[in-house]
Formats: sequence, C-alpha cells, structure tokens
Amino acid sequence: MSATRRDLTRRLWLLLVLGATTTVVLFSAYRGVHDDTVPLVSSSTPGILAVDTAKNALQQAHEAVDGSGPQGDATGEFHTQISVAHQSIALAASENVTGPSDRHTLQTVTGLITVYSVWVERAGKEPNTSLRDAYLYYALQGRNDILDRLDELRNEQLNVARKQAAFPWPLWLGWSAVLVLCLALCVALMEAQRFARRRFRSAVHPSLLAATVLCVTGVAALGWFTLRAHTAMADSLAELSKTRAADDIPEAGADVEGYMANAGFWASLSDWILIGGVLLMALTVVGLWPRISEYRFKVPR
Amino acid sequence: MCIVLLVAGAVAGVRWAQSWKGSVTVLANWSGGEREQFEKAIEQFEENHRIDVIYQGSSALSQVLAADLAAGTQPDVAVLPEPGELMAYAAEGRLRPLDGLFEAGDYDRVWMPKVAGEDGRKRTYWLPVKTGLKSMVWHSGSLPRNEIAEIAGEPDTWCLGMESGATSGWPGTDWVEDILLQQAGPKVYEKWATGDLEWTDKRVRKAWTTWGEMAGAGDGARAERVLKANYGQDCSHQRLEHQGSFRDTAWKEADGDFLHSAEVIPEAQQNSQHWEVSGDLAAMLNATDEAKELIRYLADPGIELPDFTANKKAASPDSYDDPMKRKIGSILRDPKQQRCWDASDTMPPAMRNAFHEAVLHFLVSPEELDNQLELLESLRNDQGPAFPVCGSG
Repeated sequence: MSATRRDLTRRLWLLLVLGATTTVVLFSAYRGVHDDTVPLVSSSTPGILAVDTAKNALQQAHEAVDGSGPQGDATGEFHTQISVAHQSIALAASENVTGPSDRHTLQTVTGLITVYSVWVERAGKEPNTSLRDAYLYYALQGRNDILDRLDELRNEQLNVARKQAAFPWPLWLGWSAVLVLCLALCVALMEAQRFARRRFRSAVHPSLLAATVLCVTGVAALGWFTLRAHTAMADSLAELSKTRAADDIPEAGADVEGYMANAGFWASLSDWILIGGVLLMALTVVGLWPRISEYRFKVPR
Repeated sequence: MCIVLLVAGAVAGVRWAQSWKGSVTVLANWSGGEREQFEKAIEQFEENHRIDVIYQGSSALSQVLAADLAAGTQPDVAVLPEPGELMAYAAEGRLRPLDGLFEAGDYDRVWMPKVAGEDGRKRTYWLPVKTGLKSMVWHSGSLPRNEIAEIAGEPDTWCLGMESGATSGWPGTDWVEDILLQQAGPKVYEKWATGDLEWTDKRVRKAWTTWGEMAGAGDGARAERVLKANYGQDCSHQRLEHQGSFRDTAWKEADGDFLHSAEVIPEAQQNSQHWEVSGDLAAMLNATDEAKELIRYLADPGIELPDFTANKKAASPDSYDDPMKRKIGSILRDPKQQRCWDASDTMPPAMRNAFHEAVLHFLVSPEELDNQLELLESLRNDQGPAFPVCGSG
C-alpha cells in the first residue's frame, strides 16, 4: 500500500469515528435537554395550574358560605366554586405529573371535597346556631386538610418541573464533550483538506468544506436552540413557582405557553441530528474515497 | 474501555437490584403518629420484597373509598375500622377473598369471621391489622378509685371532643354504646348492634340519657366547646377521659392509668368483663401479586405491627416492656373477657352516619332525644351484620 493511500485511509477512518461519536454525543446531549421541554409545557404546567385553580376555588367557596349569615349561601357561588374545584382536580389527575401517588392524592382530595360540601350543606339547613357553627367548623377543618394536601402535591409537581428544567452535571458533561468533539472534528477536517490540497494540488475539496460547514453551523444552531430552550424553561419555572390569585392563573398559563412556543419545533430537531451526522460522514467519504481509489493499483515509489 | 464497561455494568446491576419490582396502593385512616408507626412497620416489607407501598390516609375513608370504587380506581388494599362496611362491600363482590393467604385459625372468629360474598359463599374477606381496647376511663393514676367514681358524675370532669373530620361525633357514639353494654349487657348490645332491637327501646334511651347527664348535654357553652374540640385534644391530667387504648401514650406521660368504664357508669352491671373493642381491618380490592404479598406480610405473627395484634401466634402480651401495653394486651387476649365490636362500626354506613349526627344534636338539644331516636329507628335495618358482634376465646 502506498504511503499516500495509507495516510488518506487513516484520515478517513479518523473523520468517520469522530463524525459518528460527535453525532451520538450531540444527539444524547440535545435530547437530554429537549426531551423535557414538551412534558413541562404540556403536562407539568397545566397540572400545577389546575391545582392552583382548585385551591383558589375552595378558598372562594368557603368565603361564600362564611359570609352568608344563617340562611346559607343564596347566590349559588358555593356550588359554582365546588364545581370548579372538582373540574380542576380532574384535570390535574389527567396530567398525572408525579405518577401514581399524584393520582391517589387527587382521588382522596375528591372524597374530601365531597365531605366538605356535605358539612357546608348541613350547616345551611341547620336552624340551631351552635350546631350550624360546629358544622361550619368541621367544614373548615376539612377544607384546611384539603389545602394542605394540595400544597404538598403542588410541591411535588414543582419538584418534577424543576427536574425537567434543570441542567445537571451529565448535561454539562455532554455539551462539553460535544464542543470538544466538534472542535476536534473541524480540526481533523481542515487538516484533511490541507493534506489533500498539498498532495493533489487542488484549491479546495468542496465535500470536505461542506462537511466542515455542516459541523460548525449544525452544532452552533443546536447549541443556540438548547440555550433558548433552557432559558424558556427557567422562565416558565419562575412563573410556576409563584402563588397567584384565581384571576392571574390563565395569564400565567399564557406566559408559559409564550416562553415555550417553539418547544415542539426544538424537540423535533433531534432526529435531524442523526440525518446530519450521516450526511457529514457521507460528505467525508465522498471527499476522500476517490483519492484513495486512485492509489489502489499504484506501487509505492 | 473495559473498565468503563465494567463500571457501567456494575452501576446498571445495582440500579436494577435497587429498583421497585411493583407497587401496592393502600388506603387507611391513619395520620400523624399512627401513619408513622405503620410506615415503620412496612419498611421491612418494602426492603424485602422491593414492592413500593403507596399510602393514602384520610379521616374521610368511607367517602374516598366509595368514590374510588365508583370510578373503578380503588386502592389495592384498604384498611377500614368498620366490619359492617366491609361486609356490604363483600356482598357486592367488591372485595377479593383472602382464604389461603394465611392461617385463618390464628385469629378468633370475632376478629375475622367468614362472611358471604357476591355468590353467597362464606369466605374470609378481612384481616385484623391491629386492634384497640375501648370501655376505658383514663385518669392521672394518683386518684383513688372511689374518688374517680365520685367525680365522674360532674360533666366538667370529662375531657370530651367530638371533632374528627368526616366522622365527627364518633366519640359520642362510643359513649352511648359503652353505656348500653355496661348497663344492659352483651346480649342486648348485640341485638341492638345487629338491628334486632329498636332504637326507641327504653334500655337504649336510658344509655343516651345517662350519657347526657354525665356529659352535661344541653349546657349551651359547654356543648359548643365539646362540639368543636378535637377528639385527640390535650387533656388536663386532673380530668377523666373516656377513650380507647390509642390514648395510652398521652396518659403515660402523666403516669396515667385506666379503669373499666363500668366502675364509673351509673347502674352498670357489677364486675363487668365486657369490653368494647375496635380493629383496623385490611381488605383486598385488587388481587394483585403485590397486594397478596402485603396481606401475607401483615398476617405474619413475627412482624411487629403498631398497637395490639389479634394474631394468637404472635408474642404474648407479657413480652411487652411497657406495663400499660401489657395490661391492655392481656385484656384483648384474655379468653375470660367478653369483647364486643364498637357497634357503630358494625352498622350499615347510613345508619352509622345518622348515629354520629344524632349524637351531635343530642349534645345541644337533649330535649329532642325522642325525635332523634325515632329518626334513627326509621333507618333501622334488621339485616344487620351476619357475624358475631361479641365474643371471647
């Protein structure tokens, strides 16, 4: 085998190994961030806001009966708010943010809301003031129990959201590896370009140049999308961490939706990393293989 | 590379070994200390079987369970103190039989009777996880017995609280039941609990009025206070408390002791050996392998469960370090004592709930007792529990 053929073959293998490794590491690092963007916006956020809505509804329901006097709530506000609470609990359960324990807590809360409503209704029908006060007191104790459980659930949901928005050390390691590998691949591509230009006296090898451009622009673009996704998730998390009044809940949901508007697009790009990696390796082969072939039958001088 | 692969393999192996191999959902009414005790007892199970126990505790147990069953999302195991409710669920085919999972002969029939399932066949449907003693009057321990009997007639002597979430009123039903048991005896008590005795019967009425006098029913300010006080409130050690064995920790701090409620209840039968008892009963609603494994674990006499076990093969009460626990445990296991289920726990849920409400009404308006008893009588169903309410052995 001629020295040139051997040098070219070695460079081709190095570029293919570097290309494949960079692709795999970039794919993993990208998925590590973007796999959590969609669940954060489509599950955790509505789950947390549904719990907020249920809490607010229960508070408003009790205000309606507490300030209504001995005749009970005549406005229907109590039943409206209880209905809102039930619907919100059902929505939170369907989002299933923290898994089976989440579902069981919400089932228990549904039962407790029923008990709470029964005490309030009994109070409304009770002519004796002492008993009426006692029933409302039992209802209040029950409501406080419900609110405590919802607070605990919300904290667990928020922990899930925090994990989704986090950038832990494996991701730092992954993205650092991506940068190092990308740099190494670009240097190797440029060195192969320089070697081929000197040996074959051609100005530039378009396919090797295209592979270099693909590597640089691809990693830069994906890095930029990842930075934007991470910032959007941090902003969303800050929004979800606030406690807010009932009227502000839809606005908070809209804000999170705004931050994460491109989450689906960003996440969908992960498959293109594999396609881009294959393309990069194909360009490398197209750039070097014809030269290697030229030396197939040449005897070293 | 080889080292990296080896380390990765080892980490994956450890993670696999540490991961849960399934889960079991448990619904019970324990909270606070009781929940901690259960979780402590269950840690060993989780460790040995790698099964995650997902626990939900609520005082609104009946309502939560009814909602879960209606939605088809029932827990795998539910622990209820009401055999009456469990019997109804067994008859509807909601419970899975426990036969074959453990040795049924390890428990007395009163704790673990065979009841009819949906097909009418009698099977075991619940396992007593822990038992409790009632008919107890707690005192500071320094008071002479005759003095206790003397001050027991003063309503202000008693620590009394009716608030208990969804089941508010049960401390009052315990009073009425216990008075009936001590005044009229187990036969009348059992007839009443099973729906064979009218609520308007003079012996039942007398139990109510006796309690009314002892508790000061009708005293406006006092009734208001009692209605809002929690059943587990701190009790001054100069006072008396008619509560079950679950209060032993609170009274032990004051070197407290208890005596049989018959010693303070007016016109109670002499030398009574009748005790009201309660139990937390585990029933299986989904016959998963994990749920069966948990039931087997709870029936193991070698496992240390909270409070007092009904398992005859478990260590004798004499082995308890705590003298108070020895005393209570001995009564619960003594074949000479007659133990009767808390009657309201054996009643159908609608009857039980009406009883709770009637007690609250009675505290405020004892003069309306007859109306309340007639209301309860209208709900009476003589198809009461088809299992023994009282028993010994």
